Amino acid sequence: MKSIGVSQVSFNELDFFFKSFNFTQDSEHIQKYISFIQEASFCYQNIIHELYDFSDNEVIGFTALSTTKEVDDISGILVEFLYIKPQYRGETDAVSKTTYSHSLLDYIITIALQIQKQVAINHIYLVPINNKVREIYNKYGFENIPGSGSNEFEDYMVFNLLDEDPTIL
Amino acid sequence: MAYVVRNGKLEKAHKIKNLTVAQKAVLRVSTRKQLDKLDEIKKKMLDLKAS
Repeated sequence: MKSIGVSQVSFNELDFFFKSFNFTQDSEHIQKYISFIQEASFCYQNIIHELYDFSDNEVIGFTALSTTKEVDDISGILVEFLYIKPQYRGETDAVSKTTYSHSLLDYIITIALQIQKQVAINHIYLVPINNKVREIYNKYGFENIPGSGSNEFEDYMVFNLLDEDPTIL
Repeated sequence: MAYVVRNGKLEKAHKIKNLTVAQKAVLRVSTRKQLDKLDEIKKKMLDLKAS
């Protein structure tokens, strides 16, 4: 049985961290996306957090987080990327009974709630790379911002941290 | 920075400007599902703090 944990990957560990993956099973677009994410992390433009099994230290996946004002200047945390190794996609953590991607999303919400106490950031945004992934986020609770992309496949999604945001009229 | 696959190429997601009424509604009010998830996670955080 896996015992999962999530922690931030320090700057000094980034190079080793990314080299530990074999992304060849992923599509060309995913591989290119990851190279952008990796490059940005080396320039302190996002922070990488890893999901791992602490019984054997195997990495299951990771996420890249940054901040954004791309949604009409309403500040938010941006989930730039969420990656689960192919063999763990759709798999459920035995302890939490949730999929690994949702475990990582739980962690992101936890971080966001901690940040929200000190910095006024009340939204979490992401743009799914395809519709299959959009369904995963939708199932979790993210909502499509309708018509926000050039087409429906590019719509931003949001998870709100306030019951109601009185500044958005 | 978020990216999307547009016309077969990986490109930057466009910035959203001038939100419509429907878009604002999604950002203004949390859904029941979001509120339930927030309650669940806040409870976990409290439990962890107490342990």
